[in-house]
This record gives sequence, structure tokens and C-alpha cells, in this order.
Amino acid sequence: MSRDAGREAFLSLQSALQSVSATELVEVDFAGVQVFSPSWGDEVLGGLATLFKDRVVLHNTENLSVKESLSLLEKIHGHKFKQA
Amino acid sequence: MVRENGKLVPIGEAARRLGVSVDTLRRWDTGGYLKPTVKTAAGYRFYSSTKLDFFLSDLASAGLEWADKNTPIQPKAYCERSSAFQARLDKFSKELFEIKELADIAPLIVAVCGEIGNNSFDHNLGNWPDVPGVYFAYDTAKRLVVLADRGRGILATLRQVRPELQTDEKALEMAFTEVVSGRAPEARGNGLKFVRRVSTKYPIHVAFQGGSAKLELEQDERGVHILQAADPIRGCFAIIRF
Repeated sequence: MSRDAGREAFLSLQSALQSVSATELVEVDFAGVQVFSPSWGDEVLGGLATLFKDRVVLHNTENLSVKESLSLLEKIHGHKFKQA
Repeated sequence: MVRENGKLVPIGEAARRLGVSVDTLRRWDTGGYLKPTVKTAAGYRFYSSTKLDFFLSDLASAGLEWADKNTPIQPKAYCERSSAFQARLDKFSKELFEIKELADIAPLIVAVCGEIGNNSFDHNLGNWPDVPGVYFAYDTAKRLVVLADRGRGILATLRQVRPELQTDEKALEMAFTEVVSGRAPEARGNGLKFVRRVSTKYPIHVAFQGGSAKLELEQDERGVHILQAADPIRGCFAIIRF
């Protein structure tokens, strides 16, 4: 939920992200997520968007906290996330 | 013994019901925060059951008093560190998700509370003027959450990035309306925009006070109307109803 937790989550993804090839998609699945916050999302999705831009694809974004957070993050980062 | 306001309970039982120690209740008596209904000549304190119920239910005024004057609060509502706040938010979340009629908006309510509470920690880390942490009280039956802090306040925080800001009113308006784009100068500061977006779109009412300025946000409201608060505080105070 918190920005700090998001920062830690993004750091823990680093080794996995380094092995992503130049053409691979980075898919984020929100299935099972109960609550999503824009601060946590800013650190994780904002970081992914900076690194992979249009290759980030989101799945199962129906949860209202996911939907509304994404909407704000798109405005902050000037980036429209691709949704499956 | 004269019994007023219903059943009288001795200090030990009163302490147990409030979740504080007997010594704390004695201090609250001395400090005038919570006086016993009856104090015998021998010094024994008795508390009206009704008064204790009222004390427990009066979450908002307890939070505002604490934010203003550092009055005693229920220990379980005090989250000194971010980790304690996250744990209490998880507990609140579990209770909220059990209420079927709130199923759709429960994730939003938790996210709103999380953004306001985490904001307090993010913006005051290492800079708490006196008491660190957040007051986080809730009553899911009453559909009520109260959050407060004794931090530096919105104006002092925003002045770090906008030194030209002069008033609590302008600072509060900026905090709730101006989206900080990109990740510079610092990756933070958009949580209250989320709070506004959600509370004007869904049935989640938010009243927020920062310093001497306050605002209320509710469904379908357009614009932000900043008002002068009757009782200025240094930090932040929020009531969320749903």
C-alpha cells in the first residue's frame, strides 16, 4: 500500500527485469488484488513504464482501486497503460 | 452511592473497557481529560458506563483534540510507526471486506485511508515536531474513519517544493488539485489527488483539515471549496464517511 512498500517491491523485481529481452512483454496481472494504491503503483508501474514503455501490459484491472489508481498514474506519467 | 448515567463501574473495569491502564485513567483524571463520575472520599474512582460508551464512540473529537493539544488517546488508535499503521489498515480492511453492501467501494475506502495515513509518514519522516505517528480510529458499524497527525502540516511540506506558497488555504488547494507530473523533484505528492478523485466519484465523503484550512469532498462535487477552520491545528485531520 505505501510508497516505501512499492519501492521495495520494485527493487525486488530488478533481477527478474534484467533478463527481459528487448522484444518481450512485461505483463502485470491484478487478479486476486484486494486493494491497490496510487503511491505503491507509482513506484512499481511508474518504474516499469519508464523501463519498458508500451511493452507493459496489464490484466484484470476491474477492481475499482486498481482502475482509479491507474487513471491517476496515467495522468502523472503521461503514459497510457496497455490493457489486455 | 448515587448512580447517575446508569451503571457505575470501578476504575479497573473502566480501564479494561477503554484498553488503557489504571494509571493512565488516574492521569486522565488529574489532567481533566476523563473525569470519573464519582470519586469517593477515600479516593476510589467510579465511571458511568454510558460515559465510557460515549468516550469510546467519540472518535472524531478525540482525534481532533489529539491533533490540536496532544491529549491522551486510546492506545490501539495510535500508530507510532508506518508498520503499525499498515497492520491496523490490514485489520480495518478485513473488517470492511466483510460488509457485503460495501463490496464494490471497500477497496477504494481502504486506498483512501492508506493514502492519507501514508502521506503523514512520508511527509514527516525524521521531521516530526513532537509526537510521531498517526491517530487511526474507525468504526465500521458507523461507517466512519478518523485519521490525524501532529506533523508539520501541508503548507510546510509543500513549501519545500513550492517556496512561494504563503497560506494553508493555497497549500490545501494545491495538495488536492495539482498533479505533480513525472518523478521530479520527488516521487510523491499525488495521494490527496487520488482522495479527491475517488470521493467526488463514489459515495465516500471526506472532510480534511490542514492547518487553518479545511475542505469537504463528496460525490458529484465539482471544484474544491476551501474554508477557514474554526480550530486551527498544525498537522492534518481527516474524517472519512461511507
